[in-house]
Amino acid sequence: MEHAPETKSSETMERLLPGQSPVLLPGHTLETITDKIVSIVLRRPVTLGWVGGFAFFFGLLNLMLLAMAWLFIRGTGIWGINVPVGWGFAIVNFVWWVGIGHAGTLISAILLLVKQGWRNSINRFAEAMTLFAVACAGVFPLIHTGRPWLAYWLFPYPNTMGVWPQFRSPLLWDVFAVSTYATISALFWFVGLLPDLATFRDAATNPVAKRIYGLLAMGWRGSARHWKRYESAYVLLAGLAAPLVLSVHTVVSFDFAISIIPGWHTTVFPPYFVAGAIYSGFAMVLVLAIPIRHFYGVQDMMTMRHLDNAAKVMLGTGLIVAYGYSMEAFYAYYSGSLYEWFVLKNRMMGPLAWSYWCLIIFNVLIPQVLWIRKVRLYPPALFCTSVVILFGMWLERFVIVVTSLHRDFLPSSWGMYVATKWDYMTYLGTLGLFFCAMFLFIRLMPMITIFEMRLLVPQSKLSEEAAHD
Amino acid sequence: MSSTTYPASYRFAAPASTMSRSTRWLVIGVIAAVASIAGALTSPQMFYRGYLIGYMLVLGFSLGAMALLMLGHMTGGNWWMIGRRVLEAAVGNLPLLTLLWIPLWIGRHALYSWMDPAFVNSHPSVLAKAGYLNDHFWTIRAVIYFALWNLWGMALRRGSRQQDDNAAPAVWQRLKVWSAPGLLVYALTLTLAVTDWVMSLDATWFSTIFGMFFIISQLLSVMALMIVVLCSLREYEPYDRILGPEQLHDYGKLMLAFTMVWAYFSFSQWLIIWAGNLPEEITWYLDRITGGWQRVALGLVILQFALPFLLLLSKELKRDARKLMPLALLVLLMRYIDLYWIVAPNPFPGSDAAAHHLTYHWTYFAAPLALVSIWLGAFFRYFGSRPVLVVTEPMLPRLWEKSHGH
Repeated sequence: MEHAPETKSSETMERLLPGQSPVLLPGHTLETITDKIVSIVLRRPVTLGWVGGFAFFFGLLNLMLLAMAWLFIRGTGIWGINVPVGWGFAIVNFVWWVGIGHAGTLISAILLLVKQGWRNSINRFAEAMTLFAVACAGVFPLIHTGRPWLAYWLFPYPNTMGVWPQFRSPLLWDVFAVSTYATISALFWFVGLLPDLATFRDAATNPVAKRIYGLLAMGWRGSARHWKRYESAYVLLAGLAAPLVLSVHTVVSFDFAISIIPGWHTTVFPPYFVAGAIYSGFAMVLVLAIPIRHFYGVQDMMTMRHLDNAAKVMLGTGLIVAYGYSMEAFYAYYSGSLYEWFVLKNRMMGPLAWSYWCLIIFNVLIPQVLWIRKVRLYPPALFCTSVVILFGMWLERFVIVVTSLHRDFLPSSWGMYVATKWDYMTYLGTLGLFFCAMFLFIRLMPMITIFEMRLLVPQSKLSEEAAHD
Repeated sequence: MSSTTYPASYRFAAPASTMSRSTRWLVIGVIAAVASIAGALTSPQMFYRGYLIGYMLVLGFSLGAMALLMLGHMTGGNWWMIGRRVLEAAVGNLPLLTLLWIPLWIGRHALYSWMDPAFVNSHPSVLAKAGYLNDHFWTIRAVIYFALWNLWGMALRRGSRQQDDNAAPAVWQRLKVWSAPGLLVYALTLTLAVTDWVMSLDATWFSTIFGMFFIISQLLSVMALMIVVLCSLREYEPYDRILGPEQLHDYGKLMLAFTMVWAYFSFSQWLIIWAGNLPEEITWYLDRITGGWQRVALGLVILQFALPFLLLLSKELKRDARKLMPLALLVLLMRYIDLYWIVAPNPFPGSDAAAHHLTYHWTYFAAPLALVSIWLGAFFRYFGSRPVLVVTEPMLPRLWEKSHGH
């Protein structure tokens, strides 16, 4: 019985390569899992490191509030945007953040539907990441309107002004796509949290915490009927969320592709945007997971297997993105079109060529180190690669938005784009918003799903089999 | 590890009926081929176009199978373990496809208007890419594609044969090492190949999603083919044991996923080109939504997407071979119609006008029939020559035990 967990836990794996670690390191029982995850929130004292980190990102967040206050006073003229580049940082950051959210949905919904057990320990914080990323993304179009208090005009509702949105505009589709995405993600996240919130309620000793977790758990008692309803609701929500992984970034890509600007109007955009979204999303998952597992000692739950798999997903989606770049370049030539060809030349050799070549280095060349197994299994290297990819994906959107716009059909209407300090402050501010929220989440909610981790414990397999026989 | 003996009970020969199937298909193939040759002599332009439709379909079976095989080597899965021999037999047809490409080379002037210098000189956008799109380079590229495809096909088959007797992890590790770059090679070569062979039928048209569209089309074709072949063998050992509703469910889900991605790519291309409405792009669709072609287009929307999509949502259907198999046959038929719709409406060399009216020609049916039959004949011959299961497959015992319990 003593060594039973070891053999059993390796059986929950698909083919285990020599040297590959399982999704849950041996030695855990149902009790130790619950205890470990609960104690991170309820019993671990607030450390200086946490306070320091939180304070830093809170500072960044305030930078954004400052920039936004000035924006509302002076208008979008404080940004670097002008004719011909009317979409600058705001849209670049919007696309970047929405893209990052996609990995969370992919992990929690699609990997659930295709029964990938390794998602279980990273799905909850990845979903939280999705929510916060979508919130950060939402900031940009809202403030880009200049009058965010009138943003509800974007929705079609009967009104006395005779204002009706333009349904042929992909920007309107974006409103629906992103708001649906935010709603489903929030629901999915909250429904998934219910059983664990009840566990927190039961484990909390502080009466106030007990009351709050109790309210949030919505009366969960863990009865068989609760579980049955929960399971079907969860799979149903996963089914709803799964197509969103494709549709949201597809609609975002339509923002560009539906126009006829060379560099924007290209049919490969939908799949290549989706792949890019997952690419950057997994990079963010690793940027979060690697420090979390280090500082909170959950290496036994977020194992090397998770890092390895996430790295492989990045490698795969990164290659699809690289395929997209090559298609753009190849068909710019093959089209025989003067303007397509010019856009390519301008990207590679124009005044913003640095951004194109940095993009190729960050997004295509450097990530090829992920072919090497040693890199995938060495967290610091993986962390650095992920940061590089996040930069690369940001540059990708910068290249698409700015280089396509700043020199269009007529040389007399060419211009240049330079971001101002307000642009940078707003961008850094959303990073602050994102990481502040993540810091709070880690301290207040179960960042690893307790009951799904318990399913990975050999004990649960045994009782399940006993129940079946 | 390699000293482990594997139960001989896993070693099944292919059902005897595969050989008679092979012969039957070859007979049909020869008859259709004779008819097609008559077509080649009487109306060459029509024949070559029909041949191209059929060729892209069977090429899709073999290349799509190669892609799925490599994907399986990297990810595993029950569906892959059970269907692996189907995929390998399809990949085994790559040398045959190399030979069958020669008629396209012979007919290249009847197929592609840009092979004619007068046409190139009168079209500036075609002249701009004449360094790429010319007779010689086009041929050289094709030789490179086939060299790469056959190289990978050979490596995958050799590794598989070694696996039959040797369970050493190094053997399947080597297959994995071939597979990852293989997928990359597949995606790039296929994109360039369909640009050369299909997109350039309309020399001025271009679309950057075209390669990806063909990739998913090929995966969908081969998934449907795999379902049909496996379902037709479900009464025989060992399929009667390992191909339960659970496994069929997985195949159904994969076909559903590929159907959705096919629709997603098709719709994206259409929406972007329709909304842009640029003369160099929209003409391709105008040729395909006028003169009767719009009925085919609508047929594709309904029968290649809407109907399979709605039916495949049903769990019962996915688990029932008697229902899943006819649906997979419909998908296969629609793959042919889709290629017909893509290839046939293009302008013929020598005339700028598109084939504006829905054109039927008997070679459009005879040539694909000949190619599909010959392909299937060779496929069943290869399939029959190998044991059904890879006995050294590490995950096989689990699948076997699980199915035994039922």
